[in-house]
Amino acid sequence: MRIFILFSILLISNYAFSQKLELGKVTVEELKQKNHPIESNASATIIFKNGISSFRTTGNGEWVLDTKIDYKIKVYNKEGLEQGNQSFAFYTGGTSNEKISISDAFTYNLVGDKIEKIKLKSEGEFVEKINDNWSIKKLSFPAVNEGSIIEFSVTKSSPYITHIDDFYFQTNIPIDNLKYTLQFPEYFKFNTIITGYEQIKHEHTGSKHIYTATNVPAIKDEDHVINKINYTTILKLELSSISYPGEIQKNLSLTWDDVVKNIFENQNFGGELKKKDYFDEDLKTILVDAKSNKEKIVLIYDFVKSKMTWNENYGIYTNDGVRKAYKQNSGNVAEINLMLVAMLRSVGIEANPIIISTRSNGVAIFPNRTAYNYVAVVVEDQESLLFLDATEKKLLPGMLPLRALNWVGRVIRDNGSSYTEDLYKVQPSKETNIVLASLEENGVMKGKIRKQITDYYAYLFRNSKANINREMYLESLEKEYHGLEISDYKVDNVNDIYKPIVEEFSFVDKGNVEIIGNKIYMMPITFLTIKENPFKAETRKYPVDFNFPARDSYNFSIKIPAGYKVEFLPEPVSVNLIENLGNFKFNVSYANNQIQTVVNYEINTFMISEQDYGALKQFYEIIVNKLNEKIILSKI
Amino acid sequence: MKLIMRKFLLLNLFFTLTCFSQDLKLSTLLIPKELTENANSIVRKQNIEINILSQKLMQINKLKVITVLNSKGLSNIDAIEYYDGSTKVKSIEAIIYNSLGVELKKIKRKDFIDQSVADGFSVYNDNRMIYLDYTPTEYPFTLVYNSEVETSNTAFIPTWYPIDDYYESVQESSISIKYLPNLGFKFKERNFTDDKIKRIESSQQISYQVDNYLAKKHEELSPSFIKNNPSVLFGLDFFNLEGHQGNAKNWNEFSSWIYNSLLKDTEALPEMTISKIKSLVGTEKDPIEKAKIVYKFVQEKTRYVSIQMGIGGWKPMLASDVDRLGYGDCKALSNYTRVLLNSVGVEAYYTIIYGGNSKQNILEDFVAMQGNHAILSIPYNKGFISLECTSQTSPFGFNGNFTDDRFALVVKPNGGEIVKTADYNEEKSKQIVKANCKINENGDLIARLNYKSSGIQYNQKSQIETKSKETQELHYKELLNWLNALKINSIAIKNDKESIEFIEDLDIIVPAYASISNGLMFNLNVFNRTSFIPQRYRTRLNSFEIDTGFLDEDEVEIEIPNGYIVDAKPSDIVITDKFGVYKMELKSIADNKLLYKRSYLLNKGSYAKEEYENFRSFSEQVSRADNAKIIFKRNL
Repeated sequence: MRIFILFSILLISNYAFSQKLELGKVTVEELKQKNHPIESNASATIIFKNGISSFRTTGNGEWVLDTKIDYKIKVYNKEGLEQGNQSFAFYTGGTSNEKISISDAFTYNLVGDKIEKIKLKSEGEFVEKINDNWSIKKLSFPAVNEGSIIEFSVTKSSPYITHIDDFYFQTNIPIDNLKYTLQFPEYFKFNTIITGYEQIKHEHTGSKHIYTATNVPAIKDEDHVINKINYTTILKLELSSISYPGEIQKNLSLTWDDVVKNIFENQNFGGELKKKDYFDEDLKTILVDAKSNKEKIVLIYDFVKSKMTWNENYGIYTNDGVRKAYKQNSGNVAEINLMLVAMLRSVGIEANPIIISTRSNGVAIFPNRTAYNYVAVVVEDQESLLFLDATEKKLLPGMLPLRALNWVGRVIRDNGSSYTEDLYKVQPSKETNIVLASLEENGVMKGKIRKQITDYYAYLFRNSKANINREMYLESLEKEYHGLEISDYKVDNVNDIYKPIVEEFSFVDKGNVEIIGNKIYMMPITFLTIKENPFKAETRKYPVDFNFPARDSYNFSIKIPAGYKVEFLPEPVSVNLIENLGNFKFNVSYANNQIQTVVNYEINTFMISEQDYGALKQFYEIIVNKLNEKIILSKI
Repeated sequence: MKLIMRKFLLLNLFFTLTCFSQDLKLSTLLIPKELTENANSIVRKQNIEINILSQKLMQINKLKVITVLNSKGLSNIDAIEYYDGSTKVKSIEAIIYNSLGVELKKIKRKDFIDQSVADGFSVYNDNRMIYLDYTPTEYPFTLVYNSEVETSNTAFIPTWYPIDDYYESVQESSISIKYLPNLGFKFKERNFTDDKIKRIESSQQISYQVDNYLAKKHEELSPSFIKNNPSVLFGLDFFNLEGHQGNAKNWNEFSSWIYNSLLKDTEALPEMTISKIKSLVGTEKDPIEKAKIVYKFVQEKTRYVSIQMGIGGWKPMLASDVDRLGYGDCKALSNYTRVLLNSVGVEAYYTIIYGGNSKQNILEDFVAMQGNHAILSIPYNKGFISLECTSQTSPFGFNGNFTDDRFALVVKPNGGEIVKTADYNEEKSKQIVKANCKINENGDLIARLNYKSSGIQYNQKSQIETKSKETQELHYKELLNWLNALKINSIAIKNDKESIEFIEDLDIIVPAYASISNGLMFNLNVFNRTSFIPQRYRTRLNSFEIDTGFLDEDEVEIEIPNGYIVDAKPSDIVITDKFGVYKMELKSIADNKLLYKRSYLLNKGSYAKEEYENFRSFSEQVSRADNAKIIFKRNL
């Protein structure tokens, strides 16, 4: 069997290598193929994707970057028909614009034993002008059926030579053959990096680089992934320097320091940090009684938060500028947070901007001016670092919004120097539940709960649930707790963000205790139980992302009805998930007619690797099983 | 299946109008308290003035003064206008005031965002929008919005919704329409359940006004907003649509207009196609059998591609273009199928309908352009079979929940007919579960089970057929999410499109299904538990409806290890109510073998709010019965 498997793999790769990456060579065999030889459920496959990027100069001496990509795509089933529609975005917001042209676009079908070739005419080409900056070229191929092959060549000509589009080696369908050739004048230098999990071969002769790969699987959709792009195989390129003969080398970006220098010297970044006049007067009023630096930091932070509203635009550069933003009380991320840095510095506090790539932007992995799209604030003193971000009104000093909590950021100092800083130095958010309940003989449980939440739990509560009308919130809470009836609800510290949120309410629970025969059955933490394992898949390809580290605890006391005794209590358990990444402790005890359950649950990390997935799945299996085991009471 | 008659949707959104007087009381302090209850925003004043100057010219002027109380109310601003080749936005502007009525900001046309309408499914459409993207710096604030729109399309006069969303109250709102007498102006009032709305009619003019309409709350199972709230539709007997003069005096004249101006000149097909379809049909005489052959031909040949330009929003592409290109939208594909059917002597009619999961009718007593989707109707047994022509996978004659159970307009060359499409209620949407289970000494459950689903239950399941094995496994784990650590050993799926049945066979193992800590205890309902209990409301405000009825029947044999006898078991259950019937029955069929039988019929229905608590209690009883457990003790 082993030999056979090896042999079949060889065959497949053979098949892949035998492909010539040329358009117009469609064969009857290809058209007849019913399923993808490796991923039999694939709706379509890219038989090849062959790209070439090269540079040329125009008549007036301007550089142009041409990227021509040839595609040959095979459709297997009806879901694959969507390949008949293709679209390409291009930038039209500058003085000179990007252009897209399509050529050699055909649909191939098998009619009897003959190959029918149908041209994509202009009636199937459209340009949608999204707004002033962006347009999309769209293609609708004719006569695309199950079994069809479509081919086309798309060329993008761009005057923006420092920005080369990412080349995707992986997409939502398999790619059998990939080739990307990058050819550039010898006086250009590039930074490159390949992200993701697939093997890419790289060869070069002089300034001609060739990247190839075969049989790249479709990118997989998995839950608990914050941004799939981080795990997708992509070639990222950046022009790092130009050195014309006889001229001094012009560094566009080569190291992180260069990238930072570029950013720092940009008027919309560094320049904005120097302006002070617009807030001076206001700041004096606010700080009139402030003594320590600590007080000043909090006062200034709270001032910016209350004055400024974030307009939901990202960016490391200001848009309208800090002065105008200050005047109109709203601005983008850079305007608000650079303003905060300037204010803190103006009173002698060592505050620096920290540039970040957000979760939606992916991880910033190599020196690149466009790698960052967010800026927050770091205050440094001898002992510690303090993150600040004034775009979110409910955030505490020390916290970053979840969108910005993504691996590492880069702190830019006053003198333009920089260093990386771990963003994951985050204390676990805590949820503490204390329940005092008593059970009646008819199975109705009545009691009181006190739930306290901190950090991100509290932040999320303040941002969403706190604005909901009370009655509606309680109704949704009753729905979440499946049959609970809630009264005497009270919540503290919603507006005092420096204190944890404390919710208290009384409940009547008629739905979670069962009486069978003359025995009573109930789960140890009844309505608070975790019902199902969030990790159901058998295998895992990518790491499991967690939003933030968390510690939840439950202390659940139930007074049992008179005339009953405890017949069965679940055994205690204590599980540790890989070097303390997770912990679960569970204990049930009985004394003085009270059953007391104590549960502690922790996830101490942002990420668990795919290798540890099995252990993670099992960890949750134990938790779910334990929390759903039944306490049994019987009549004395 | 997709929507396509896109323009309706756009134009139906509320249009408006003009003149803004300086004496508006803009301070939010003057808002009556009751208008702020349950409200995220308050329409302080809205005037819509529509002037129909000729069959080919309509002006719509809008003035809206809205106070937004919190961030959730932002989406109610609706400072947006749509335009295209025949509709122009002549002016659009807004002014923002703070809670004291002090002007904060003026927003000119150039500060609105002008963008293409990405509807999410069209390859191309020529609709554009201009909208306000405002970041509030404080709440509450008041926005005064003015716009003037001019269009040559008079086929769609904006529908008036005195109140157009939940959580919004209306202090004062009016619409007035001036029209020419010879155009056949008409209107239809819907859901005028109270006398708050006043109608004023004079010669060549009609207006409506309302004041102090309180905000409504959204509640689970509420009928759709438009079904439950007042609106007035307006129309003309003689209208213009993208340069075509139309007649909507009655359904017959309207249908012949559609046929003669939008369909008739699209019908030509190439000889080759006609002879091909004739040879496919061969000697078949039965019209339905012929239709099946044609439908299969269309499903294999075409795919759904939406392109909407000018009259193309209402007029199908030429049948010969669909034939050549192999794609089209719902109009094009329905019309193409119609022409093919006619060419082999099968009667078939172009049919206009509202597509969507929420059932919406073409209103019989209001002759005008309605609907957003096209299908095909074939006369059969005094009724019609409907064909969804945009789907490449639907069984012949199966509408699914996109076009089921609602009124549609069947367009005939010499007249039209409003007919109801097939419904799939109660027994017609059935799921049968048959299973054999064995519980071993460890409490593990080993089972073979078989699902057979029809109607809407077929619809809900059939998409899983083409998914990868991994995705299918996850699907069943989610479906049976109460079975912790479920292992699926095999999956076999059969999609029987002839009988329209979806058949699934599974082999599964559930480790530790039965608790063996103290005797043997397990839940009798292994595979089909209802946990749905509608949310409890302290005061239910809206009526409610069950949109589609269904029937589930389960028969499960369970074998247990030897050496146990029953300690406690549930009695047989019958719950009968106007909402449905639930039955559970347990039989011993051998020493260690049980037969569990369950049936659950839920009726389609509309009910008054007073019935809501009864429905909740019915659902609670069902859910409890689905949780019934059996306990065995060792037979010592």
